Amino acid sequence: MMMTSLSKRLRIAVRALAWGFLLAGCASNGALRDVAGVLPSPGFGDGWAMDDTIREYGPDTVFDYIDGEAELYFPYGFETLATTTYVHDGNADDAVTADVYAMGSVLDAFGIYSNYRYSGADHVDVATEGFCDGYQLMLYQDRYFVRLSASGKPETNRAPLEACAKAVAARLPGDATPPAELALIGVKGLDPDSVRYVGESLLGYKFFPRGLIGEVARDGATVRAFVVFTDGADCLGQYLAYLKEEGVATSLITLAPGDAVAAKDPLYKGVLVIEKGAYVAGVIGIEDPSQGADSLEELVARLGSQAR
Amino acid sequence: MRRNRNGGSMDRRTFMKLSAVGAAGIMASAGAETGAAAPPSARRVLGRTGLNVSTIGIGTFRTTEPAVIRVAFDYGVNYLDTARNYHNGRNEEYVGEAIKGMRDKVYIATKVVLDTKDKMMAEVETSLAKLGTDYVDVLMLHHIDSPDQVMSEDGRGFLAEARKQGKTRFVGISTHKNEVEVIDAMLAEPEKLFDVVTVVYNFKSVEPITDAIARAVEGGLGVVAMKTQAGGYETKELGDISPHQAALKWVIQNPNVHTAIPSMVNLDQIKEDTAVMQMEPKLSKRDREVLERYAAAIAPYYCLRCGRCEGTCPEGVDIQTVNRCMMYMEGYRDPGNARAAYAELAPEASLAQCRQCGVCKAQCANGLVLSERLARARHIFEQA
Repeated sequence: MMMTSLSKRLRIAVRALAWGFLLAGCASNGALRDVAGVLPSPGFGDGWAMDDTIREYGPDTVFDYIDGEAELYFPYGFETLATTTYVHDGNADDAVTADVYAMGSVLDAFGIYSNYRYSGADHVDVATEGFCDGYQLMLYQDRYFVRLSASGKPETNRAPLEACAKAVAARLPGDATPPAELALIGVKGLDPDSVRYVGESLLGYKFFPRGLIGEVARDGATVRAFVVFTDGADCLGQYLAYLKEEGVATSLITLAPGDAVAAKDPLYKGVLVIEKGAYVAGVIGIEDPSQGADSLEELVARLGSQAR
Repeated sequence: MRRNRNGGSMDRRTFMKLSAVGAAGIMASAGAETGAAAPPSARRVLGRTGLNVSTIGIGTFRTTEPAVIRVAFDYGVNYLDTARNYHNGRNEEYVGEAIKGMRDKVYIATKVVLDTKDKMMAEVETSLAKLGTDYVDVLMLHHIDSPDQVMSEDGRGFLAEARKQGKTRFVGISTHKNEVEVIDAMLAEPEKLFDVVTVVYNFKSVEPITDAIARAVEGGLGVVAMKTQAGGYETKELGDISPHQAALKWVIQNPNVHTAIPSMVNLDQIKEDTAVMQMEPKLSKRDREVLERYAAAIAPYYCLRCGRCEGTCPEGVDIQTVNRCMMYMEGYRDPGNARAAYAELAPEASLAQCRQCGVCKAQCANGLVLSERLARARHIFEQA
């Protein structure tokens, strides 16, 4: 069969399009979400003033602003981007550009944020979470992801970036509560900065539609723990079918919460995986099943305490 | 399981054994740049660079798993496109991880945003560190959309210096807007600096783009096609059919396109997209039907702003401007600018003149359903 079934990327794009039309309908009724209103106006801090109009982009125009990177945002329910630039005392060379993205949910906002965050990131106490690398400061709260970029040098950027971040955060709706789903993966040894919410094809597998993944250090080794949100699909069954197709042998390992499947994943070395309610939980990159057993048991216990 | 053109099925290992563009094929063809025994549409020479690139490359900006990128290598991909700013620099890390042990087997293209020469030189150093290599194959200025930017002293100076220092083998530009003008400016650049252009090209592209690509090739440039799937919108009208292979075939049936770089985030997409390299670079009747249905399905959404509707409304409505206003309203979510732009229309060119013909007599050459579009615009601008 030359043509395969509709891919996830199509569904994602159309979801974005559908949102676009929904928002357009809202716009005509004057009920458009006020993303632009999150941007401090006429400025922030000491001498920082808006030097540009606020431009807004939707799913079909955001490419004009962030090029192909726009597609990264669609699996996270991207709705609207509002952007503007602030300059200090009228000096255009001393500028901070502020981009505010309205995403589909607080989990989606975390998801896109976590794509940029890295282990050992320099955290900033703002909004739900933020970090600064000297040139950019990123944060999220509620359904908003905010990306601030400064034109100067790291040693001078930090203060205006933080001031802008605080001014923006003060205008964001909601509280600073992180997405409840993050609790699912909080196992012992987890590097919190490594946790990502992946909005499509977790681990590059289409049959894992979305989920959380993070690095776990245990017994001197680093492996990855993951939780797939199955959304009602037989994700484990499809994974096992894929392993069989690749000629991978599987075995059952008895753990406290039940039998887990152990195998050598074609891409990621050893894997230990189990289905629990609406989730598939696993530990991957392991040398042998015993290396992942403790983490998997802990994961399953967390899943059991979270009704979906 | 994937199926070959004869309807037989093949798994990845069988595919790699049978195909000269499997991992071993890559190692032979990329490093030595021979591409011997490759299928008819598997390799093309990237203009004056001489690089023997896979006709299907990978735009890695959505790919966060190095292992997935490596699978693309297994399927014959040897050209990777990333950028300094993708994933805040992390994408180059993913690519760097993916190419470990394979640096001389694949071609790496990265891009930096136009800035001062010094800042861009610092950026490329960061790119190389993230990629874990001491050179890239193609270094491009990112998102160039005007001849002035093409001719920028900083931009050209940076590229020339980076090449001189061995940071890159070849240099180029990526462009998403005003592509024709950008390509012509690249060709007119007096030092013949540029080697490669990465350009938006898909089955919705208008003829001037195709012509500009032909001129680029005539001028010795390598041509990389991006956004090859025209957005990849889901369309219920298509049912259980994917238009991706047909869309890719449409792109590479143009021999002036040397490689197409769709994004691929999972194994299914890699299998689907790379299979095109095993096919004749020619649209079948079935492909045409799929693309026609796909184009028809997404037509209501897009105005290509080609201007060919100008003067086609017998009542004098300025359709292109109305479409632009709708773009502000629905695309940019900017009702203020939309209404302001609409207010600038002369009354005789406004929707007040629209007689709401049962079938709109004005026609969109690109398939936009004008009657529906104008009815919606009329509701927004004249009645709301």
